[in-house]
Amino acid sequence: MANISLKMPGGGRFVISHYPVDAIGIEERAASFTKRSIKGESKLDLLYLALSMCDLTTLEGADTEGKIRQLCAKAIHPVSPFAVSEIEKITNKKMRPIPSVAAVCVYQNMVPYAKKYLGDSKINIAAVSTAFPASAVSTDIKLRDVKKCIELGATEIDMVIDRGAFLSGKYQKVFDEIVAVKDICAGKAHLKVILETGELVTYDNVRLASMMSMYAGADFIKTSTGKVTPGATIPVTLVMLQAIQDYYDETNIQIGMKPAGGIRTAKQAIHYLCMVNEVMGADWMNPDMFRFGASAIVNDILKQIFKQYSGKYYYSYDFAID
Amino acid sequence: MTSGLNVLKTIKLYMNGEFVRGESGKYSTMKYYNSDKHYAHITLGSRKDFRGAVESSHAAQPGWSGKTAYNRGQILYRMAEMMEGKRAEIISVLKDTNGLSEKEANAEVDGAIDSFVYYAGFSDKYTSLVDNINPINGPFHNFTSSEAMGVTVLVCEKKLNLGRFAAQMSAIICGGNSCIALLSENYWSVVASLGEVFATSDLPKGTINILATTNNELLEWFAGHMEVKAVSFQDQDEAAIYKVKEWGIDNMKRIILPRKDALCLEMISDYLEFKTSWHPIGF
Amino acid sequence: MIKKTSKTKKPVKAVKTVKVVKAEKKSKGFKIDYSPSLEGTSIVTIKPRNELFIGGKFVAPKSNKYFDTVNPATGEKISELALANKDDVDSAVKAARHAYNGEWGKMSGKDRGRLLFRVARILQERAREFAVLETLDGGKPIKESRDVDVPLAAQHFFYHAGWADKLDYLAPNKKVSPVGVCGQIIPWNFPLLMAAWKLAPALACGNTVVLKPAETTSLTALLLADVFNEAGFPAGVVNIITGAGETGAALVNHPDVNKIAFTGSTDVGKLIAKSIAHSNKKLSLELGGKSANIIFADAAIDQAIEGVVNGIYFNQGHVCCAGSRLLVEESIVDEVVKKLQRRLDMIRVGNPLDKNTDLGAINSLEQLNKINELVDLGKKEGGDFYQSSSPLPKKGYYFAPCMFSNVTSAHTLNRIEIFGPVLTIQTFRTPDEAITKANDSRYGLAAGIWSEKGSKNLKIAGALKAGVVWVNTYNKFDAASPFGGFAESGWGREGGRHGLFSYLKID
Repeated sequence: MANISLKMPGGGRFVISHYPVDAIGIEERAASFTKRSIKGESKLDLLYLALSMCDLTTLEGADTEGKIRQLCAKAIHPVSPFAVSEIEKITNKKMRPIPSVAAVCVYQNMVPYAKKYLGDSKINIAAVSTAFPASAVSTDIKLRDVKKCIELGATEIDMVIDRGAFLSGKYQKVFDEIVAVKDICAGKAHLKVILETGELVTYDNVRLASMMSMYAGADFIKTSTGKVTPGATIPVTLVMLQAIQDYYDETNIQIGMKPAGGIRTAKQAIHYLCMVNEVMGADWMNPDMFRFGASAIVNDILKQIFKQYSGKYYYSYDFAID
Repeated sequence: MTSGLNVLKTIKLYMNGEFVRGESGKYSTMKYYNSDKHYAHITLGSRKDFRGAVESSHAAQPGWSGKTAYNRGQILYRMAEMMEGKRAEIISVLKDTNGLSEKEANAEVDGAIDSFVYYAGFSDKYTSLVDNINPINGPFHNFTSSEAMGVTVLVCEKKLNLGRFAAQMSAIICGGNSCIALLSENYWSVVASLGEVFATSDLPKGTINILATTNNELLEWFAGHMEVKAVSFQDQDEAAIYKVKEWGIDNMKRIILPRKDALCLEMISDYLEFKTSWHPIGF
Repeated sequence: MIKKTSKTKKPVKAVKTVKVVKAEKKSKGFKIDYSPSLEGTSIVTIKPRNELFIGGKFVAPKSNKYFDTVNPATGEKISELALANKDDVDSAVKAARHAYNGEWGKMSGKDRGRLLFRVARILQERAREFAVLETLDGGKPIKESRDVDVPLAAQHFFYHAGWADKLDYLAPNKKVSPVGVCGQIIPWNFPLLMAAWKLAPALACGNTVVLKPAETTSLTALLLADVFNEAGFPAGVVNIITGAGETGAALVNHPDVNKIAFTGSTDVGKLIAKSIAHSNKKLSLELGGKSANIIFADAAIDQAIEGVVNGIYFNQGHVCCAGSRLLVEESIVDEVVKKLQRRLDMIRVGNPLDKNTDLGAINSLEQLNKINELVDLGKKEGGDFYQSSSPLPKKGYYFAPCMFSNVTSAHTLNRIEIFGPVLTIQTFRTPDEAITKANDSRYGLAAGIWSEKGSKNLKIAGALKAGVVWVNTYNKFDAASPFGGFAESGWGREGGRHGLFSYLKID
């Protein structure tokens, strides 16, 4: 076990001890979830759940008001009511209403448009912050980014940890930054901490960063920015879930998990949900505790839902591209 | 309905899993045995092609040696299966251009298949015979483990002998090396078939590259290329061997010379590096 | 004596159960209902009656007797097997001897290898068929027969095929030759894989074989006979005779058998050794175990938990090298027990043909009764008993995985081989103590060590009296890895270079 000693905000020190992770073992266990085969009503339930867990994302330099307007429309109605009624006519079955997604995820300057076009829907506005994605600026600029996002209407903040500091052993800096961001967010927005697991590389690092983030005040821990490959993987997510489990055992606090980057198909989503089910249990199987940071996946989930109802494989034309 | 005019054959380089023309445009004309009748054009590899082959083999080598030995054995066995599937084609080609009899041509194919199967069966075993745990006079776990050398150039014999060629090729890649084969005139007729065998055997692209050459034209380039770690010089050309040994010194190339017996453990260990590791034993 | 199946006994009431106390959580999500995802069985054709495979043909038993074989997942009969008597055994041995003196004996190693490569390939092509049959016959989850048993069996043939023409490398400067006719008796826990472990090395070395599969699981061995014919083996090289204890005894005692190979219980292994002690027959044995799995505080704990689960619950615990004794460093025992209990509840016990099943059926009613008896004894002797809350199917032979923590070396369950999904847990304080406790057994088959400290792992591996040591993993098998036990876990090794020696004469 490794022991990292950190200074607490109010003074005094505490020690995070964390377990090492065996890479071969974690990958074997991760693979077992991909062998689960879910069919019929259960599969439909999971598809609906997965949809309600999506954070519909656009993080491009080229984002505009128009792009955000389209994104929000899709967030509220992932598939057009017209397509739904067509299916119901063909199959003579009433289709369970398609839920909205959990959140939209955008850059700071797009937050006002998100607020405008989401109207009074209950969809969250997650803003990436702290100089996402590289976080290669001074701490005060990172904090001003957070403040501005909240001012503009963000209800969730997705921050990034300082990977350079982490990899060079400056753990106190990493920890303090998360604490400072949480300070700004507390009571106003929930805080997701992005570890950028692709840059941390080893599972040991991922576990340590997970524990650190949770003790520093994260409400959610998240794998990736989506700008670095690899993004989320099942083994990396498993490591983080096990850390969340241990943190819960120690503190009785439930922390959420968001894998992001590289999750494109409904099949993958189902594997992840099997994992959450078997590792964390039913209490994490809801959008307050688990999110998918993915956009392309929404259409694949819709295709699968339509297939479950109609028995046919669908093409992409029926589903709006955001 | 076809017009009765055959589609003429083109023999290209087998590079990075594909059949390409080669950047120099150089080619040679192959004739039917003892005849002036045109058989096919064959692309000859230039030094730029060779350079590209090295890049490709260099990129492929870590992935190839990272496969399990069982996996590599399965792929070598598949080469035997693919070769068997091409028996008729290769026999016809050897008769037409090399002037072999039916019996001789069959023996060539049999030889190659025997070699692929032999090394397919050695791939997951040779470490049991050449690796060691060494009895150190102290509390250390000490083991010698074999590894690939890296990119290996194989210069084939002058006389056609598919059994020996397949044996050399298999022994080289068996140990995790990647290989660039330079084939001279007597082998030109089978360049296409061999490339097709390698291309359809689940071999990762770049693990084997084939260039047709002539007159040791590429000698200077492969002997001097710093990324080539070993040269297997199977041609009994003393003068050429001396040159290769001299020009290879810059990056301390391992030069491997012909063995009488092509099917043996030593063929594999010729292309291996040995690493010895120490690890203390104690609470 | 073939036992008739009897009705299932009523389970005894639990004596003492300690359940983990879960914190009050508001359940805001839902539990996935893993509706059965059944593997189709139409790929397999099970004959209503199976004959003996002797001299390349299926022949009726001279005894004219047949016995039932049952699918333990349902308790229903699925086929009949021939009962080989002494005369049938004699025919089989004669056929094997004839082949040994004939075509097979004259065949080059290269050609023997070719035939074995074919077997490997055919097994790979017919993989699904073999996997489904193995599950139907023996009760193990389709996930395991498909992903572990069949691929390993194919690998075993592929690996040994390559040795057939390279045997001289095993004994430089010496003459290497086969031993002759081999009698091989295999158990019911990995029917196809055990057949591969026995047949492949014997044939690669030039021997001929009479194989007796276990009486509850003979179908995949008989299907293999098909494969040997398909591959073109000369008649009589492989002979397969079905039956129970008496058939096995007849084979062991037959005067013209040169070598016996047996995998099974230590008790029967000793009987066999006794009956041939006054002969010149070679004998290799792979017997029982009570293997220790040791977790240190500096282990990757979550992966260690997985390793322990895999060690004792894989294949319903019907594994000779199962990690049935868990030794935990005392400083972390509470956490380990809690994680194990949590993990146990997620193991899905069910229809072996269901792709979502983790733990299948117990192989026979007899074995299920034995497990129940022993667990009842364990409860009487004390310790903290915890059993998975996984629901069990109503028909068939099933047992929910369980564990006894806070037990000691004196408890019976800590000493005898249960051969079921039952784990005992005890503690230790120092590496020395761990070693002593791990070695405290008449067996010596396998052991597991969980620690991230390399030097400690190496030292402990060196000190354990076990033929197989797994560090930071468990239940890993490979054709190239020699497997076998110290002490009363057997004689000889199977797999790898070392595994060939018991099938060769070296002068």
